[in-house]
Amino acid sequence: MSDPLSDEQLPDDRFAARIQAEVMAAAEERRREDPKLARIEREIERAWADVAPPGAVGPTEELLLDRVDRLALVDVDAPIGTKPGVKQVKGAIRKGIYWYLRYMSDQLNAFHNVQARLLRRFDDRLSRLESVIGVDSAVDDLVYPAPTAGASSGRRLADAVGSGRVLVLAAGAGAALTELDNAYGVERDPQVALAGIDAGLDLRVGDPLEHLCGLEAGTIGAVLIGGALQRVSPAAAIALVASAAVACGPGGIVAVAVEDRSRRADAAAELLGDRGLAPTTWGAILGGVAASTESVKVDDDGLEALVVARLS
Amino acid sequence: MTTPITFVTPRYGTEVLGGAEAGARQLATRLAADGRDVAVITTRALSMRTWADHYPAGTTTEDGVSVTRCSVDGPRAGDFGAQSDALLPRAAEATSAECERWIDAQGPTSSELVEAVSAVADGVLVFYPYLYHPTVAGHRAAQVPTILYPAAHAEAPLDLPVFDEVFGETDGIAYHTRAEQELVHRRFPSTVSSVQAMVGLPVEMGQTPDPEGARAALGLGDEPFALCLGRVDPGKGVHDLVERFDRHVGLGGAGRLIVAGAVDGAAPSGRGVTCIGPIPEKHKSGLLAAADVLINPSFYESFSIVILEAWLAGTPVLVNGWCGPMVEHVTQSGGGLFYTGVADFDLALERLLGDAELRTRMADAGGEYVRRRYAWPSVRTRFDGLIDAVS
Repeated sequence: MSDPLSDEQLPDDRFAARIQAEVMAAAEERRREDPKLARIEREIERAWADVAPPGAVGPTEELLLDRVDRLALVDVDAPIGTKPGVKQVKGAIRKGIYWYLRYMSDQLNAFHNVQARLLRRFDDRLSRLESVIGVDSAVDDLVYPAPTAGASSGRRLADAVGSGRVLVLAAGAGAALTELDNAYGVERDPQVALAGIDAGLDLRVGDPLEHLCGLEAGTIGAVLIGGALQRVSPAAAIALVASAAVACGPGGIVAVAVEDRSRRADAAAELLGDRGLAPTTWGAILGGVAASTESVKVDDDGLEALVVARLS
Repeated sequence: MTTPITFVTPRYGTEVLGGAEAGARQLATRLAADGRDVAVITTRALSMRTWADHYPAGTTTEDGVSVTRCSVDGPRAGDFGAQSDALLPRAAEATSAECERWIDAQGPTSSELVEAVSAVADGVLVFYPYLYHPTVAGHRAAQVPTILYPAAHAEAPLDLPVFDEVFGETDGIAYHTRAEQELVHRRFPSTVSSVQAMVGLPVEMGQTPDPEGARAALGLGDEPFALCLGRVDPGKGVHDLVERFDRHVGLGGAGRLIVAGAVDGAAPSGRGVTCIGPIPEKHKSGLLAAADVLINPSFYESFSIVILEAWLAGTPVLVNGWCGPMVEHVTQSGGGLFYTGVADFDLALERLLGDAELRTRMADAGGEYVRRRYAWPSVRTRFDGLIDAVS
């Protein structure tokens, strides 16, 4: 492993990414210290959701539900103030429209209101369902962060990888990267990532899954899955492995740094239930896309094994 | 013999403001300067609000390009805004009749233009951008292979089913950025297998920037400033930027913001903000060079020529992080920063305004990126490859 690069040695795009990560980490700090700021940002996001096309606001369902709430009201108070005409006549038209349409708009508003409430009920039920089956990682992030791939995992993977570029997903502070020559990581939390970025590692702040799905097929030599991603449900794990396999292409490697669930503290064990999969289960999932799989012991904190699969 | 190329665009001319139209003109004039057979079919309109005939009808030669301007059938429909408000929130479910009515209402409708397009019997037709009547009707009338420069961004009209026909039937697609390509692939999955290329646009600095001259001519004094340059329009995010800057100054933030460009409606105002209106073209590069940082707050860009021009003028940029193409430029070049919230806007601005070394490095990185990717020879090679593939 080579020494971290200084600012001057870093390529321009990585230097800018480091500055961006510092800005994002400091911004996150400000948000946590100042709830008012978080509220203002939320207002701005709401304003964006109001003008954005469907889907462009990303996974901000709450914002879209707010939009539904506001659009549910049909207003029959005609906005004719800017139209040309005598004031008294316009006033009469306005009142006429109001009188004529009020009966219908009341029914429509009642109907929309029920629909909006129903949507919220569905959203609540869906959230609870996701929580039960383990799609929602909020508990992990808030109470018990998932262990990330460390130096031991990095060394083990380095043994298996050839010259291809390695992507570490949910890389934390990038400990695994220190043992890999041609590698970069993606971490969602800017404050966690900052330590690695400051140490000169090629660590990017962003959504690991979005990053993985944005890669062109066959452009990566190996993908190492770690952190909260290895706590996903079995269905999500299968989809995750499939995406990683596409990014790697034939001959590539997909590896998973698997948490040792027996070492969870009591509170974490209770909160997380049986969330997460055993190395053998990961091996079975990886076996669906790989020519061979192997589970090796690692010494990283909180990890049980590294499951490595070479794609067919 | 090279393939004749005919651009079809709603408006064309040096006075026309608008990224897509400016892009089409740049491509056409650069190709013509290289000795290519280039024509343009367009309308006589200057204003996209009214489509009123402005330029004389007929064919003229402008910078080596044969430009045919056709009269419009009528102005933009008076109820276009109301139609949009009613239709666009449910754009994906719009019926064919509703789509046709909306496209007609938006305009510019010109039966002369459609006839001229159908009369093109040789070469390739290049439609630019996807959104307007000439592209929808022109694709149906085309007798030769077509290329679409969508200039698409995440906006509600993209969901209208009428555009499935346009994107599905075109012979080739030229994108400005990878982010635009991803957006189109998500919206029109069948385009994944279309002939396509990430072509972009030529961006070069026409004149040596004169920052002192621009400061003097525009009365900007010697103080440093952040710049927002372009149409001053809520849809471009300028009012949002002014609010952010006002708040930034209110909390003790340093600096001032100069907003330059044609104002649509009331000019926004805020603490530390000066709106100077439209500026002469000759001072554009100087103004960009004089600024400490260029801010582009727009949500809707498929390319953003202005941030690339800022880099060539030696100025780093701060861009709206909700806009994929601009984030792509910034992250790939290292030429600036992006923001999505309030806290990161303040911090990124403070960082850029407070560190001259950082600004220089980022501006240099951005300039290198533009010269590498968007110098004319690179763009021409990619564009020619696409022309060859469809013709």
